[in-house]
Amino acid sequence: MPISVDGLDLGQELARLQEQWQRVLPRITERQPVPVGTSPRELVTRWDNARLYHYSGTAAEANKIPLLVVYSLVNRPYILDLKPQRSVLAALRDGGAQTYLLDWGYPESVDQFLTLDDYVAGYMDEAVRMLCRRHGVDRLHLLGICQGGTLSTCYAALHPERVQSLVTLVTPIDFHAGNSTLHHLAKHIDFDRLPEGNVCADLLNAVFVSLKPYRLLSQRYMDLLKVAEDDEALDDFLRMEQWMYDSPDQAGAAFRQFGKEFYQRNGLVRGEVELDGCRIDLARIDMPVYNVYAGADHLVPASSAAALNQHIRSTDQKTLEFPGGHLGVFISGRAHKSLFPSILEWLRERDMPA
Amino acid sequence: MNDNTHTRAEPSADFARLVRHLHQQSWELLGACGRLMDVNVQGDSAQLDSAFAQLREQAQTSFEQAQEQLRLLHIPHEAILAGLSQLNAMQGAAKPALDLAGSGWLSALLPYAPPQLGLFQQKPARLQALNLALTELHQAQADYLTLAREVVDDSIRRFRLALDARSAACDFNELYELWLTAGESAYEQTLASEAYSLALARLANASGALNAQIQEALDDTLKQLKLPTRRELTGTQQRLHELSRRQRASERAVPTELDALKREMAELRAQIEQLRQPLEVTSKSPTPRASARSKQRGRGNAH
Repeated sequence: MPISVDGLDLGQELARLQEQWQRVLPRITERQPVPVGTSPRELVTRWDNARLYHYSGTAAEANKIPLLVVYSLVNRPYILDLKPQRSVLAALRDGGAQTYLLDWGYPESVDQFLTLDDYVAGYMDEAVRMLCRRHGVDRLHLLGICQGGTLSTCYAALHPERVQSLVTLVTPIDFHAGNSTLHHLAKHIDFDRLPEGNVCADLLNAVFVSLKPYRLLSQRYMDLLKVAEDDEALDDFLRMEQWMYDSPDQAGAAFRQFGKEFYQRNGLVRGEVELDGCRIDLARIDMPVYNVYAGADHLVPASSAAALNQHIRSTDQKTLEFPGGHLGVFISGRAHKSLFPSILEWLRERDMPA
Repeated sequence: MNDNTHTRAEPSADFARLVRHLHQQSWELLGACGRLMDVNVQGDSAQLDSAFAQLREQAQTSFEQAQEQLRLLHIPHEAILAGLSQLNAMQGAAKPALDLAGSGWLSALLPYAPPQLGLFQQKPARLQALNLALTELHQAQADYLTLAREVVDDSIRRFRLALDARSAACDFNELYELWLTAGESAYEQTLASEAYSLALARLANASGALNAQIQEALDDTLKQLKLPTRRELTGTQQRLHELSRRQRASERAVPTELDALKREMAELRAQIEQLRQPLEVTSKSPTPRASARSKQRGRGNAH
């Protein structure tokens, strides 16, 4: 059946789009740069490019045990503090958690030899020890997101005596489960032949965009035209746009190690990963664990994240399949209404120093 | 107006002309889409089929042009390889003529590695390795482009089927959604295939291998010119990293050792205190040993 275009031909439609863009582009220029990561914080200390921040709060009653938030290496953590009304870090702080963030920073050329050993047994361990001394406790709560959750899980397996509880959000554990697209793309790559030095952020961005190119390179910008007249909606778009492409380079050695040992060999669930000379045995994780994953996650399939609960020895375990996609678990309105209060309550119930 | 002729820009190895060519191809493709819409408005199914066929042909032409561009970029290296072949001939090597046409020429190159003799013995071998890496990259790019071409072809076909399946007229936004869905479904099917995984890996591996060869050649040249090389920079960074690790390990060990020393000191002090106490308590009365000595002296004196 012939398709009518309501009397408009393609040329007219394109001209209309062009007019819309001509109005929208100057508005974008006016609004940028849109502030991100604006929650007040203090720099506690730094190790090379990694920085430890404290989000000091005014909650009437704070937890005794500090909470360390660890994000992925491949993106910037200000996604957790995109704007005041949708800030995970502010929500945790205001809910009574003594909230700290370990910001990995932007690796430089000199960091190309950093391995996961340095990140987990080096920077993370330094942060944990410092926070324990600072608060006069032996253990702390750990909250890891995406790859940050994988690193946190490794740390908890290395040093269960230092982790009071572990919360993981959209964290890949079984890298071969659930038809993982990233595993599929990585499986034949010879990581040892990648160019020397750090892995360029633009390359990684291109890989992520290539998973959904039509949505991310076309539909996203068509949708922008629908919200461009609304200041708040436009600012939200621009914040996300900034974050999507503001990625750090990846320390070459760590990237190769993660690609080979986790994505290709699936070493974490096989107990074949070694960090700092010690084998990562997930069965050593015996502290309370709260594992949250997204039901429609194209980056971390639900089964990949859910696998954590099958390998740990904890008797106090909670899992939650959260509706929506990867980012929805920590930036959606629903997450702020229901998930983070749930996490805060769970942490409070387990906030008992030894 | 339907136009069955497609202008064909002259391919060129010049990058700026490549960009202009791609720009022109994009507009021609858009024009084919426009012609498709003209047919839609007119409502003739046969013309619709013809318009879709033109669109597919235009897309195929664009890909062929892109592949031709890639081939032309390879020409300087074919010249170098031909030069290598002549060099071998001059050295009296009884090798068959270098056949650059067809895929078999790549393996035919292998016997052309010259014997490594003399002052610059490694140079020809390195140059050949560089050219083989470049050839592999071009082949990987061509294979990847072939897959991309199949995706575009399949998405056009799916778009056509989606249009046929519609039971009512749709507006521009709905048409856009149909195109998006058709394209995305075609792309995701290819993305999930083993062929795509292999092609992507081949491209990544070939890029990495070429990069390593170029870097080595560049470092050799810089070294000749007494300039800093990447190898030297990397070596320094590696030593810095190792030092940094050793320092962290020491800093972690020092408090532990200090604590152990402090504990030992505390224990020794406690023991000394314990030993002192009996001496102080009994300082007014002789100690058993002192008594024994004085008795002994007394006996001695008596003698």
